[in-house]
Amino acid sequence: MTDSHWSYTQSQGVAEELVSLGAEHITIRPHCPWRNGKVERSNRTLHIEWAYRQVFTSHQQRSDVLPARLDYYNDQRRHSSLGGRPPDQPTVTNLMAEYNQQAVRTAGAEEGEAEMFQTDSYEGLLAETVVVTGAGGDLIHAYHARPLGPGPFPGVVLFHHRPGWDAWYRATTRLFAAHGYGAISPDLYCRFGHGEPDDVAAKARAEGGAVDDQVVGDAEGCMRHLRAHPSSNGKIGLFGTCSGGRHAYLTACRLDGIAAVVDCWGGNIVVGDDALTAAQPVAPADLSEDLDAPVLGLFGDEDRNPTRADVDALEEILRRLGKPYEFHRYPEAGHGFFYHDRPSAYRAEAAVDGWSKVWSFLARHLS
Amino acid sequence: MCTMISTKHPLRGQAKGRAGWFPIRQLYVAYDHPAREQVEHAVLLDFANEEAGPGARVAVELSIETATDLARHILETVAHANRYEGR
Repeated sequence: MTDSHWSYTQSQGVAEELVSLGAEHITIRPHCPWRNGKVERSNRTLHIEWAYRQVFTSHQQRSDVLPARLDYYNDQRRHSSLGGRPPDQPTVTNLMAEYNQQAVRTAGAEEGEAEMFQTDSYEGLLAETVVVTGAGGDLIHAYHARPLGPGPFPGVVLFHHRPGWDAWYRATTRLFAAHGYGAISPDLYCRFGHGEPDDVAAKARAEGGAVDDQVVGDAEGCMRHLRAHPSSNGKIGLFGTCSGGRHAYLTACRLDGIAAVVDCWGGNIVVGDDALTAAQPVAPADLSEDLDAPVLGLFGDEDRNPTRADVDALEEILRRLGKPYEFHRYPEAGHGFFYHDRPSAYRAEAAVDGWSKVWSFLARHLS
Repeated sequence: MCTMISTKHPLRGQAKGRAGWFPIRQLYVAYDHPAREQVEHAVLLDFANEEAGPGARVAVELSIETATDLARHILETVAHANRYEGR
């Protein structure tokens, strides 16, 4: 079974091979790659692990390494779908379920769509509270949501906003999982105690907020947690809103191995010395030289922190340093325009557009 | 914090929360994102007892104007109280 490309349908070599095998040639319906999901998924793995894994200076050079790569794939590479065994040591597996999931992801990836769901496909995710080793070896809570299936899935760490580790953040963590990401949101206020999120957030506010070093350490623990999962593709992005946008940007400056960062209206990234505190002793913008990840920034022009001038200043820093970034500004939006649970802040049009920017950006940098 | 406007003060009194009356020992006063009031920032008052955990809290979210009125009403009442007590 192949697609209908002329290289299959018009090839004398393919025709002769089919005859020699006594095989019938079936072609899938045009523009329906999920009907050939196994092969498309295999192609994706070859792209990631062979064709675009490193810089080749010629097609011949790329071709020369393929046999060794295939041997490794079949004889040594551990496959999460086979219980950690290579394919030459097969085990019982639910091939149909695997087929369906791979087909769904393949179709979505090929079409560059944020919405990968097909009405006749299986979709599932697992979301639960987990314990992660955070800064200083502290055990902290995190909410981990991931798609069911062997992956490989990219990972995203979500930094919650000033109102705390609340229902919106848990729902948004699940949303990332539904879009194909292993997503984890740490309780950055874990050390202030436990209770209803707004009560814990009040305590955190009274104490001056989460300490920057702890946030970065907690994020690092979450990144380890994501990468340790067998379904991880090893790539990690960061996402945060409000103070979480600042934390995401700060973490991207402080840690290596981050492939993308999404800053949604993060306040106090550009800030004067008079606004620095013991818990937040640096302006993250001042660390921008150490930033290795491309930045997606979403901002409302009516926001008062960051103001338009703050966003201009951050953009100028990134431009001057030659850092890859894309900023999108929404004229009739203020702070928190994604928050559908806050009618005064929510801006439907900006939110729909902003989310599409998030999915597109992450797909480009984490796939 | 997003505004960095937040202070904590010692306090002694009683407040009624979701589990009934409890002693309060701290007052948090802030101007930041509210949990419920539909504005970007509000004056936030929290009567708390830290020893009893984050849930031992009575929270109030007010506009700047309302908070100003509240402060004036309190000071007026305190002035009357002082006169009543002969102070």
